[in-house]
Amino acid sequence: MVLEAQLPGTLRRDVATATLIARLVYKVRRFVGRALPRAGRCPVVKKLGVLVVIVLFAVAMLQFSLNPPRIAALNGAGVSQAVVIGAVVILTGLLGYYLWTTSQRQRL
Amino acid sequence: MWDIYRQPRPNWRYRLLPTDTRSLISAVFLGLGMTVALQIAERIDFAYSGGSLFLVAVLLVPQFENPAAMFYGLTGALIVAWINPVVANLTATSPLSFLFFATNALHTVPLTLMVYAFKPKDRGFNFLEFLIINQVAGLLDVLPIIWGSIAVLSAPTSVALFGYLIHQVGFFVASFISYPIMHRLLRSGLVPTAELPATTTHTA
Repeated sequence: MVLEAQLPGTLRRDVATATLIARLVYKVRRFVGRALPRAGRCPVVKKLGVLVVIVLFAVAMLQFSLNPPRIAALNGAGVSQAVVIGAVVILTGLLGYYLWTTSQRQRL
Repeated sequence: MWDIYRQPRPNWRYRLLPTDTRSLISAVFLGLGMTVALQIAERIDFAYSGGSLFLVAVLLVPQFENPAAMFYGLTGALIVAWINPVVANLTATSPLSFLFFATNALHTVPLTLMVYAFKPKDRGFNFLEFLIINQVAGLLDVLPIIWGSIAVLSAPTSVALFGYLIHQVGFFVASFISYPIMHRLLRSGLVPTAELPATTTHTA
């Protein structure tokens, strides 16, 4: 009984939260969609941006290397751990790629 | 023989994130080709150095990663960079194979971003420009190997740094092989945005 009474309110809050998140995602995507091409048209900003991204990427990759999946002895568990991490990285990339292409299609 | 190094590459329209089928399939095949080549190369490297040097691999890697990064954008770069490490880890080609995710990505992603930032709109790269950006990508590529040599293989720091410098020579030599190959690839019809001279009668 108590649960039934709470349900509509909970649902309302859930819908409100989901709407807020969707609106935020939409605004961030719209901002990125407008700001990136504008930055890309300015040669200096473009080159500096690329430099910053390369440095950040290098730091991220080195960080990935410094916290390795502990496979110094190449044991079975270590290898599978490395493969899982690799799969996660690839899946994350694919997801990002899917989101990017979806946003491109919507803009068209 | 040296004529090809004097010709700038035919132009192509660079796209950071291509989505057409020809680009994706070409990138996947480049990745598979690299995987097959490196399965042999990494074992040769392991045989003579115990996994601390990758000189044969370094000669082969740019032949696949450079076209992918330069012609097929970030999509091709990531596909080619991360197919080989999965197989290398599964087959345990080297004690440092878990670092290949980082090393390959550190080669292709900066390369593709440098092409995005520095490629002239009206022509392809000439050999000197190509040599420089490939060398910068090579400098980034082998960074995780230094750490791997010290922490995993317990090599002295000086040995690890020596290995790092030796790999740079490998990347320098590989540029000389990679440049003509990319000339040919541009003319092969596998690059959808290649702008070939009108005199070229190409059918494929």
